[in-house]
Amino acid sequence: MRLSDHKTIGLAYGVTAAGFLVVGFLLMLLFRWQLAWPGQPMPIATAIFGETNAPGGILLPEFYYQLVAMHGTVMIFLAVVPFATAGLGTYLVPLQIGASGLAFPRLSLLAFVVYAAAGLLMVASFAMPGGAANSGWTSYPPLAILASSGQTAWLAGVFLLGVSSMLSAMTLIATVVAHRAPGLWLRRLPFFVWAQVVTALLLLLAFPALQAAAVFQLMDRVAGTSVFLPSGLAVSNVPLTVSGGGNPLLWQHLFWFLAHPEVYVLVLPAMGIVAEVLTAHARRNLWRYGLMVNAIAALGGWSMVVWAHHMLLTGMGTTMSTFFQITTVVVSVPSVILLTCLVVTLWGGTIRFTTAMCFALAFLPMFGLGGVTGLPLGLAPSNVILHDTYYVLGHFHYLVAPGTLFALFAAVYHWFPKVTGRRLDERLGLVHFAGSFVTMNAIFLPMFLMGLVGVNRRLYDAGLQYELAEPTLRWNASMTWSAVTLGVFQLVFLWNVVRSARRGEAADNPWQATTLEWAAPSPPPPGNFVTPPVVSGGPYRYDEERA
Amino acid sequence: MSAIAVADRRAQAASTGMWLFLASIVMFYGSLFSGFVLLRAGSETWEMPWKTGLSAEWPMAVDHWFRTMWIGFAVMQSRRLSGAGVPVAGLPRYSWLVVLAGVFFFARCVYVAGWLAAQGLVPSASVPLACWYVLNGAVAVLVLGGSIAAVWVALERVPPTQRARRGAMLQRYWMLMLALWLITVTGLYLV
Repeated sequence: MRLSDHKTIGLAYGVTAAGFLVVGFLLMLLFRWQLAWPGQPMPIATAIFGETNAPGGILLPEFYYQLVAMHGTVMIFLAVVPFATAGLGTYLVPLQIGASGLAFPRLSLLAFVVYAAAGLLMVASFAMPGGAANSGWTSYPPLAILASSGQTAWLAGVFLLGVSSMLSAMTLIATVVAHRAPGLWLRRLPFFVWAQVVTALLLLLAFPALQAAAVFQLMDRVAGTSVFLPSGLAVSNVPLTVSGGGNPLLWQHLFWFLAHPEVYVLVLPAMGIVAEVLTAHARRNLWRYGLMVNAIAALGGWSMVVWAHHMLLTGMGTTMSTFFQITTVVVSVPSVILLTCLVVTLWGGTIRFTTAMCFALAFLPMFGLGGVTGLPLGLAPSNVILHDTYYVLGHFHYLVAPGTLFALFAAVYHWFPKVTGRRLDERLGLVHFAGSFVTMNAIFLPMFLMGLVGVNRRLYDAGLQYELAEPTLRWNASMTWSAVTLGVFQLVFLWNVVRSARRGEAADNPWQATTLEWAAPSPPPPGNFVTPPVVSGGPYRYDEERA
Repeated sequence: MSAIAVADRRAQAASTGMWLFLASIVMFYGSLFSGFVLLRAGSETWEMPWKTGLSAEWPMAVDHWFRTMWIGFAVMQSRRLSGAGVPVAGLPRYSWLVVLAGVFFFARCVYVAGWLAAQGLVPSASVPLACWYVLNGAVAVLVLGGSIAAVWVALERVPPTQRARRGAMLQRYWMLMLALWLITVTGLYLV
């Protein structure tokens, strides 16, 4: 096994990101205990987290906010994005374009090392004085500038993640540009490759904005500058000894310039995965492949001019507000085109209800629900009501959890035979799917109702002190139990992976898929292909099969 | 695949990678600079210390032209390095000249920053000074990176054609450095 082989790097990304996914999940279970049973002692909490964080087993508010902030950070920056982009992209894209490897394998390896280091730094910040970052995954100033030393580690980690993203995105795009097999024109690329290229471009162009913001915030924290600190700031009626004159909204602009495209960084690879799985398991070519490619490119490009809809309540003025509301509504057009094309692809197909297919099919309504519930948030009048409520949590978790995560599970079930030469057990897979589908919805669906009632998403006690939140308090317990059950179903998946990797049914191309990666042996040897492939047609040849 | 085809692919990948890298630097520096613009546009007063007497003690404008000269010199030498993609004699010498110019620029930035700090004009003193330090520091670090890349080009044992290609890529980087520096000077001192 060569360290700079794209398969090794891709697997390393996949395993590390899965590890961070577990960390993020455990953080969620911890703060969900507090939400379900506010003020109730958690067994063994003091033994694990110490008296400073959980005296008498009760999570302190400071620690609770660390858990929440790091859950978001770990899930987005360290788990889902790296798995979907660098993990799957690095492993599969060279295979799908008939290349023997990456354009810059050593840079790709360096990207992984930087990513792992950034992740460890961020997670290890729990051990720093004052604990980890506790200002939310958005790290808004002035709160973040006044936060504990873990925030500095968070900023350094984010900067490093930007470097890592830049290196891996550069490598991926250069590989697709220069290392395609003879005959593999751009219009013959699998849709997954297009999704990865657009995602890489987004990462490359949007992440530097957050890096710049991180530099400014580091200056504020370490050098005592006031880039994000306004004049006259006081904490507990004590004026801060800073020069002031800065602007906290600048952070929000720079942060959301990355963080909104980041949503598409999560979603676009998922679209690519679902397209590959649907077409192979329904035995139909993608419907309107060209339109889909144009739509995903438009979606990527347009996602960079909608960022300020996260800031509609900052008093940006009606002109700016109108502009960003219009761009937000327009960005839904290519999303709807993509969903429509994916659904129509199924029409007349010979659908095989494999686990991969079930996850891919479930992605469609889950992503649709997440997308549709985003529209009221993109319009100022309804945003005023819904902003910072549980509704927002429901909206983006539907995009990321039952949305993107389901697509990632579909990818694992679909390409596991490519990576190991063995299939995952289908019966265990269907149990995993059914359990995940039910529990995910049981966790996130009530969030919409809680948001519509008006419950704020940042309350340590889940709204115990608010009359309006009273009817929703008991839902938190069922949501927490659903989260625990979701974890149990993931153990089934883990068992399936471990067992099938050793003793699963041998399979070279169990789906009879026609994309180029399946022309290589499973698992692919060094250099990938026994004879370099020459491409003479499109990636999908299922309709020809039927004819 | 023939050796020529492999070399062509590598060259194409390297060129693509370089353009993408430059694009990400533009976005990074562009974000820093737009932060500066937003802060300056939203500020009622924007006092740079050297406009209120310091310029009499230290000719800041002259110093910046001095630094522009160094970076311009690096660009000129990097143009020679590329040889328009054709192998030319004496490439390592031009590389070392680029390194020299870059290191002088960086050292000058550090010296000026230190000199300002010694006067009590530290980044925390005001937002304009914070912007000055951040923008100057960003260019200084990027220039130092260009110098390190030039060292690599000088020392690497590769065929002349390949070295000329690398020189061409290095030239693009230094052209961008000059553009960033001119934007910085314009934004901080002239507008």
